[in-house]
Amino acid sequence: MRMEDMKRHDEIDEETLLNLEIMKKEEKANSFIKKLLRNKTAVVGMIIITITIISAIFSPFLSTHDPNKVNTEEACLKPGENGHIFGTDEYGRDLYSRIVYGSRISIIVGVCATTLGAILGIILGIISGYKGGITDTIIMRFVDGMFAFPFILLAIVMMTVFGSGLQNVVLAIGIANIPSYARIVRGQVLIVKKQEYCQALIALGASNKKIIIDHIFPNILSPIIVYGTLNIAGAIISEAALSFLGLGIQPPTPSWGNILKSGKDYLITAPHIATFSGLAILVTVLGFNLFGDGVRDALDPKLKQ
Amino acid sequence: MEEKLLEVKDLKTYFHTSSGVVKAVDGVSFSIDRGKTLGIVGESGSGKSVTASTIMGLIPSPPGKVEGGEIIFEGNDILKIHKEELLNIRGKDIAMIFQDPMTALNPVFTVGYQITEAILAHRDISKKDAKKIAINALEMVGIPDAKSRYKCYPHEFSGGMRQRAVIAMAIVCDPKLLIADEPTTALDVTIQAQILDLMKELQKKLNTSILIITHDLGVIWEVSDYVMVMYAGRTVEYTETKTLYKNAKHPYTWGLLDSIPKLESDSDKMLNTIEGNPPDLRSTGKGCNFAGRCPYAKDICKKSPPKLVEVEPKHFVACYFQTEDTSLGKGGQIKNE
Amino acid sequence: MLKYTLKRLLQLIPTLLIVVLIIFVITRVVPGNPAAVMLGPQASVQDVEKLEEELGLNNSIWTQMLDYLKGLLKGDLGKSYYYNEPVIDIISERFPNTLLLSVFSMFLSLLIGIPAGVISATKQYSKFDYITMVLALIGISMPVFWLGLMLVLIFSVKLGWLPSVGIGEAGFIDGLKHIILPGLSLAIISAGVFARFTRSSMLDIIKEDYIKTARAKGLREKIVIWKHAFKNALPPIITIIGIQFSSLLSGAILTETIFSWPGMGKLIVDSIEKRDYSLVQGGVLFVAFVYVVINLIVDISYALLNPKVRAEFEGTKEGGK
Repeated sequence: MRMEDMKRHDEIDEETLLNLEIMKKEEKANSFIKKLLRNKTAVVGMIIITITIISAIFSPFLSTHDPNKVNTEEACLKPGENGHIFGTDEYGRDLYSRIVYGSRISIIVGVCATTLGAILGIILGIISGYKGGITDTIIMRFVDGMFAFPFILLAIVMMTVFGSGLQNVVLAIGIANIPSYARIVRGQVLIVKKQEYCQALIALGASNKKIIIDHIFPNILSPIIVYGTLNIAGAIISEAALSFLGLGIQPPTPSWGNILKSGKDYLITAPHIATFSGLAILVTVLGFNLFGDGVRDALDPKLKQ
Repeated sequence: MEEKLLEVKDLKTYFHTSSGVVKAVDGVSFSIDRGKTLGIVGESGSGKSVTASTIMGLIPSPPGKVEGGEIIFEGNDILKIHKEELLNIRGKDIAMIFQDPMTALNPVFTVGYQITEAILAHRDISKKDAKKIAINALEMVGIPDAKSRYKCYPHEFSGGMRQRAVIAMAIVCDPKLLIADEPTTALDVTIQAQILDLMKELQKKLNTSILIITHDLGVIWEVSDYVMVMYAGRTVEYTETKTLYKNAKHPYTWGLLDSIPKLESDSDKMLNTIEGNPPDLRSTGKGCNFAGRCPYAKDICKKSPPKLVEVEPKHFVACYFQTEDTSLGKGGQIKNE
Repeated sequence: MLKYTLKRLLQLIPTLLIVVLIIFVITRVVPGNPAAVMLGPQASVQDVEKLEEELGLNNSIWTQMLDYLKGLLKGDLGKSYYYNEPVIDIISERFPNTLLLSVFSMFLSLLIGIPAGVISATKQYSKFDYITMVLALIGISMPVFWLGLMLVLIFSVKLGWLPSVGIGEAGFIDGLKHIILPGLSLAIISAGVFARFTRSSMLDIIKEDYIKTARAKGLREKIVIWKHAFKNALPPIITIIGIQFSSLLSGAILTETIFSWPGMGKLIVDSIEKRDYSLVQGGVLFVAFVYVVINLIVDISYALLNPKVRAEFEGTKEGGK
């Protein structure tokens, strides 16, 4: 009788503990969102990001002209002329519509390249940090080697090899991003692995998969989220840089980088081309940076208010 | 006749935060005579450290602000003097020792350099002479082999040695007042005694007045002539140390005295604690701040703050039931005289 | 300290080997025959074969890499196909220009960024702080190539104050005029990074007890901030300076193309267009090498600035005696 009572007691306890855990997690998520919404800069960032995403999804509805319709008679019109809000480019294409469509490339590259780099980097980082030993040495030496290149140079070299195109831009920027994630994740894994509860789990014979998924992953999540958000901004700039050099997205597909490239060639006769396409990059990147800063502050336990 | 070196009158230091005004120090008065020691005792958050920082002019502003009162040092109100003049007093006439010697010294400069810097900030002498004075000070605080220690970085010193170095830095300009903010809290018990002895010894040599801040009544018995008990930003009792020991009047002081473990008492007996928690400093000032925890509190205690009354010569208490006419016994009985 | 430096130097070797390997793998997986690509579509089969032979492309990749490494040890980076000159000669001619541009903009960005960050930290939440931080964030969000174009548009095209192309060879003043725009476009971005980083680093330090001690000594606020606080905030800032110097080099690749600055960046980008692979390979390798050396210098100066770390290494040195 008594034993049964105790058992039931235990069960209840476990259940309540579980509930408490879930509640804690929800509370954490709630307070994170609350903190984020209280942060003015994060909200401004969110608004900018939302606008960019909307313009990427609804480009056909938001654009005023066909972005690829050449009309040599209307070449290099100034902003506002003949119903072209931002003017036209050297082929007489509507600049506003091209910039609206260009947001597609930026968002796709920003999100996909970051995701690619993050996934591969996380895998490498976890393997490196968790396994240790010779695996760790090999992976980290390789990461060091990749770190020895200026980021953009690595991407440029890869673009030369892969050839231009959206897929290859994503690939090049994504791969060039791997080492940063691998390093961050490895560092976090080492910290978590050293903690007593983790040592205890290993001693108790918990499976590697369980330890990694249940204990290590949640701990590396917040630095990855922070870095990832800021990384999207970096990826957008990198795409623009590659396209600006003529190695990335090729015309006629509009990308902010290749519009800026033609803006460079027509800087004197049609400065609006460079101005507007660059502003689009600046504002979007600023949005992600603002948001990333906000996410970092909201996740930082040191900053209570 | 004893001469007053420092007189603090009705000092108020508030912190303006986003969640309200924190009344860290809310009307504190005391004075220190030349060559004497005053101890301020209270729990954390009672405003004792803020009082010290206010005297030093080290309140971060914003959010901190001195809202009222006077700090008269050698006849001048240092709250009113110019910033430049304050720089001359700070470190020279009034010096300060901080709680944690591990963090009070700058890790990237040598100990000697940091002491010399304090000298050169106030005296127009050559670096060589300053170095001599610094080494002399290190010897005075009992650091062996001062000459070679002069060149060491703080991390090469032990905790006790660091606190000695901090003291050397403080006394190097022969201050008239030395403020010691929990100078022994972060140290081992044996070293605590050594540091307190050192302070007493230096006081005798230099005829310095000391303002010592602590939460440890033991330290007060050890060094101070006078003691002021603070609670939630206010003075609750202020008198000579021996009087406080023999004839404490304020219910909070009783609680404080009862919470000290005594050698002769039964080790099985639980220590007495004061029930409840200190009040939120954003909502104090309406009545007696201790009323919420005081076993003897009456309605009047919650309505308006009691004044600090001299119940006997040199013995001030802020309690409605401890006046010239009435006195409260520890059992709760009130006598009218 | 010497031991530490030597240890770090030895650690460089595997990293550099990997760098060579990465470049080799990347440039060797180029789709199509590099020799054919280099010679263009008009080349005859014989020409292609001859070039293949010359470049050693018929050997296995390991033999090629071994040959290349052998050459490297002798300071031989191969021969540029386009310029018909040893790669190392072209690099040694171009690299000083990139270095000049990077150092100039580093100097400029430190001059702007660090004081801005320190003042922001001492006046936290003030208007100055707020405006500086917004400007800094805009700075780091700026695409460097766009900023360069806008500076050209304003100062060269509209105002006609400064030249926008080339390095300027007519004396110091001319050189200065030419470097201002590319230097500024790089500096503004780094200045943003410095301002933000210096601010947060200083904010941590200002809360420390020893800052209170310094104030209690009666030191002037200027000395407290710039000597006692700043010297402690410096080690992390040094690290950022190293990272920033590296990103200035990256930025220079883009800036140089805009301003036709005859440096490494323009050289590499031009060589890619000309399919001059040995020059690309040599250039990239060289930049990577510089990158690694900068990181080494940063690590060593970090150790030098921190007496605790320094003591550790001096201690081991004595122990080794």
